[in-house]
Amino acid sequence: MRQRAVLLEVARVVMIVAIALAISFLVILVVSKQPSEAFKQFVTGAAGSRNRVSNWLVQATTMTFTGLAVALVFQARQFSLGAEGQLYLGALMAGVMALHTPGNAVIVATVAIIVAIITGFLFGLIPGYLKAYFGANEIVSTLMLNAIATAVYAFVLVQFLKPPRAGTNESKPFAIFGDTNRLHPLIADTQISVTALLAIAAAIFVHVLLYRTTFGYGLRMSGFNLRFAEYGGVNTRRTVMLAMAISGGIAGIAGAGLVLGTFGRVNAAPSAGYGFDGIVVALLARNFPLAVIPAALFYSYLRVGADVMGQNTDVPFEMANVIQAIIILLITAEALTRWLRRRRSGEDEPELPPMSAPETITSTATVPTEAAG
Amino acid sequence: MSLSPQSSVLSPQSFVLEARGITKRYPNGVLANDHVDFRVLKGEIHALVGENGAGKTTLMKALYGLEQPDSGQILLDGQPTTIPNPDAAIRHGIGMVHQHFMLIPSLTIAENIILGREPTKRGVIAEDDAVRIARTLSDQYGLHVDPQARVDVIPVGERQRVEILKTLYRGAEILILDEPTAVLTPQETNDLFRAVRSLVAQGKTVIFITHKLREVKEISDNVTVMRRGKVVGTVRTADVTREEIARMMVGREVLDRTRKGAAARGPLVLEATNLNYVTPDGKRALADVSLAAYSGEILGIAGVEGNGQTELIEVLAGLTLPAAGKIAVNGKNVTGLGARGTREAGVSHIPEDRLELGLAADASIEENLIIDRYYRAPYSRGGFLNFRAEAENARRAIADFDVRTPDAKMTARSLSGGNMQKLVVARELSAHPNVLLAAQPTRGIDIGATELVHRQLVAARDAGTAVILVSADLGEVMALSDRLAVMYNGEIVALITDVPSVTEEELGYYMLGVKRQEAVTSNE
Ligand SMILES: Nc1ncnc2c1ncn2[C@@H]1O[C@H](COP(=O)(O)OP(=O)(O)OP(=O)(O)O)[C@@H](O)[C@H]1O
Ligand SMILES: [Mg+2]
Repeated sequence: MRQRAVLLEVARVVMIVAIALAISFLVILVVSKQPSEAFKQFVTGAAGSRNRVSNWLVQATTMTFTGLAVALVFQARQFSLGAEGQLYLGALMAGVMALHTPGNAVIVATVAIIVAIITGFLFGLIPGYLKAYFGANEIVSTLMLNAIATAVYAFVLVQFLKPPRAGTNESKPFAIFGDTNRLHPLIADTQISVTALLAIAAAIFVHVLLYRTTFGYGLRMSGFNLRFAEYGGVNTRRTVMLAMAISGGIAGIAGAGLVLGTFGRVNAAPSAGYGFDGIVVALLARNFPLAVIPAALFYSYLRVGADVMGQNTDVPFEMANVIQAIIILLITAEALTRWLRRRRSGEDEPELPPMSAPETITSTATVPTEAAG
Repeated sequence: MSLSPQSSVLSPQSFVLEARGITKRYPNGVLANDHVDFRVLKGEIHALVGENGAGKTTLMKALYGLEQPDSGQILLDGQPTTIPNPDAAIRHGIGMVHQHFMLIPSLTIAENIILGREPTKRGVIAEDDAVRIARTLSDQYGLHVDPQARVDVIPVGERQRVEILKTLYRGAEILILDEPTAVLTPQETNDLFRAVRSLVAQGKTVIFITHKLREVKEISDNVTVMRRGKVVGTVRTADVTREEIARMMVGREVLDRTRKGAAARGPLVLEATNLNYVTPDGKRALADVSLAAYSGEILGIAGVEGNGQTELIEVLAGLTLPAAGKIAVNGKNVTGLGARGTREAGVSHIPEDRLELGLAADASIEENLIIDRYYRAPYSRGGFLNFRAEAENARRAIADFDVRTPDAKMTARSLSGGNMQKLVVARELSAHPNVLLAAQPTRGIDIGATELVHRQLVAARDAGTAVILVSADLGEVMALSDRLAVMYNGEIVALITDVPSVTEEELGYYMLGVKRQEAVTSNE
């Protein structure tokens, strides 16, 4: 019975993705003079070479972290968009550690990642605290904090990390990691590092946290019906605050992974919007942590494929953004209609405000919960 | 009395609505309607009764196009029709007022009525037309509303009238009312009945679902009884007694009166002194309320809804902080401890609105049953959930309170309205509380389950729980209470210690503020 519900949900997601791809193909057909070549590049591009596979899996790793960060707060029905800023500060602090901590590479890497987690955690605590105790809208506060985080990142980089008289805005390479300046790769000649394994561990961690612990129970109940959770005695303020902080910690690892594993230095802009990609991934995964991994693998495959297509054909890079937009639109529209239908049949809590994004999105969390319950 | 199906039919062509062999199985496997035949005459008031989960709402949803039956046929005026969605139902003149309301709180009454079919002048919604339409409809059917009031500030009875007006505005000829009286006070119920009679006098047909057989007798022409997805029969209401209807519903004799022995009043358990509370919109909801609840006693709180009962219960439950005053449980001050702290002091709470407070509809039944205890052993083992204990807890609650569900891992949303209520009652009573705050504990549940809950409340009392019972059903508070306080305008205006001797009429005077006792001390 519950397997059936899960299958149904998978079918829904597959259908949405299929429609999004179909629309994307149509757009390609219109904008390209060489559409069949463009399709081929788009669909097979990410698997085309070792380099591209490396690129794909590195992006998937990053999106797994940010996707998990977003899924966790969405399950608490908090629409936090802070993953991008938390990623930046995680990257910055991990970079500082890699540049200045003495010791061997393993210890330095470990310290750097832990410091990134703590940084993200503390930075996530801020909007969590503002929301829980002052009712500050988390969408607004996290977007503002994102702006602050990127500004702090740029300031510290230019003022303290960039070698004087260097031509580009980046720090010295991380000499501690040897010739490549990066974490040791898991697969030779790629940038796939231990962070890929950490991403899998993080997914398991979030799954266990949400579905196996009492804290996760309180968090999910707060997401389903905040007043019910309060009525039952859940400390919803603390729960919401911690959910946002833990989410920040996970996003922080994404930043550490990027500077330590991919760039080998603190560079000008470590993230290409991975915090926001995390939203798409979480939506695709229906906020179910274990489903975040395949969702991230799939979504990053599309991204890399779109990049390859942009490099090798006359279709612009922005195609990837178009696909992203289509998927977001379709998923939200689908969640919204489901919510409306339920409302019409008179079974929804009548006090739900219409058209509010968090509600729409958490209504999609239903089935994964059942699946694990 | 004949119990054969459709015993009281007139000539067949006068059926305005007929369902033949409707079968509906939900995706989770529940067979909610099993070859249901249901016929309604033009211009009648047709009652539909049955236990919780019998399939009443499901059948109505099929007629209103919200659920598609797996098989069966729907005929309107003798013509086979399909009703794929509510829009189609509305086009065919079928309107439905749901068990749980669906108005937009931030809009005015007039706006809610016209929503979806707005009168426009050159493409712009004509606000004054809306008000005029609302007023005309309201006068025509005797359903009194203030078109310009916002829905979030009006009482529940008025909301219901708005729902009915909305369906009338859309041209409903057949009105389906799913448990309209569950949330109404006796006075509001009378008003509703007057309006329903006026609708019928103007040629409308009304299908009316209720669990109160008194209402069936009072208002309906025919009554159809369902049991476990099947129709037991349709009879002329005048031909049957309440007892006979009850027997058709349950399949056995039902005791209408709750029998309870004398209370053995024990020590003072909960003491509230001079509670004051002002609502965010400035209303003085509680004015120096003091009360005492004793072990082994049921303290009833009567009053017209909206006179502070809701706020009193929420303050006592630790959900709302009083502006002033003190609450002590077993001598320990619990004021300001919040819901968790209050619960830890042994206070359980059946809230008046199950969907707003009492449940997480999208969580599983099992999860809903541990919200007050999940952090304690055996449900928590070092911060990890113990699924075995969780399942065992649900198994017990489902068995003890006869919750009808095939699988406790399903969402609470998949339960019928009354079974949701049983879930809440089961959870709160199974905590074996020192104090039980029971607000409308039998709202929306069938007579068999009402009897069960009443017995459980008395059993809890006899086991030493101090029960504080709030109910809009005067009959219920009078039957169950050992002492009875009456609230009016945020105050306790009377305390009746000899409940059997008081008349409903006298209570009515207190409830309407016409009369009050000199010095009300609740601590005798
Ligand atoms: N959306 C749903 N999904 C799965 N099962 C459902 C759903 N809605 C109702 N059911 C099941 O169908 C059966 C009939 O439910 P229905 O709501 O029709 O009962 P009802 O007669 O209206 O009861 P009540 O008096 O409690 O409102 C119940 O066993 C219920 O659990
Ligand atoms: Mg029902």
